[in-house]
Amino acid sequence: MKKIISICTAILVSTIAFAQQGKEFYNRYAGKNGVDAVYISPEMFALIKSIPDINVEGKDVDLGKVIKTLDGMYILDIENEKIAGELSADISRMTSEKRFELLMETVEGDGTSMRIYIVRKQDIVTDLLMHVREKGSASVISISATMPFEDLKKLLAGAID
Amino acid sequence: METEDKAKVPADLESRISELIDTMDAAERLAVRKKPHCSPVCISAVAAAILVASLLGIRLRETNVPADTFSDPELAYSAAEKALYDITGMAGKAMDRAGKAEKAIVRTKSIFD
Repeated sequence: MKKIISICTAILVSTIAFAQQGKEFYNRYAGKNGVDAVYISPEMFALIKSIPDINVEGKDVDLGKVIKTLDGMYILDIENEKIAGELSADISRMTSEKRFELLMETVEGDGTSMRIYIVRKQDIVTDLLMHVREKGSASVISISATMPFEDLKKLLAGAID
Repeated sequence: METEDKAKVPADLESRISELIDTMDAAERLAVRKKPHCSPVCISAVAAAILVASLLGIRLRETNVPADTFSDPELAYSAAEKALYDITGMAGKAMDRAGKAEKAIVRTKSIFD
């Protein structure tokens, strides 16, 4: 009986842990006062990929190639100190997991900070997360993708063409 | 017939046979005790528990799926592109800052050298 209970507990814990990821954050904060939220589903990205060419005028860099490697995107933009603090604490907890790799970080004297994290399987980036924290605000862009690491490097260097 | 009569039976044979039987009996009892007890009720309970857990998992996943912000792929594309530009812009600022820090280090080094 002990064994059965242990197996069930393990399954439940893994299920709950799965639910705690990006979607959970989005659902927790989206719709709150002072929170702008954007969600682009994997289905929408599939639709984008099926469209031959979408050109947005007035931009000097073509990101079409990178966008076609994306599978999902969550954006949270918070203009409320209390909620921004809560989100930042949640993000810190999540990114302390071993699978997250801190790619870039800037911390300024006034408390403003920017961190870019990735999760990758060998040379493929499966998750990209940017967290910006300023006094009274915070924003998070969370992307799931199948992006070659080389493409990400080019993107961050502004060298995608 | 004569040889059969002459064959000697060891004196402790009876006790040795009895000891062997006891040992075999004990080993058998031990084997029976170690055999995993897996009744049909137990198997059904495990199957039911796994089913409930997976249904709960599917339910959790379903309730957590948010609605798409855009119904038009072109708008979704623009939003994704803007987000990538934001990331590129922030990374550019960070690299710029790192470049300035590097220059400051080089300048400081040249003063000390």
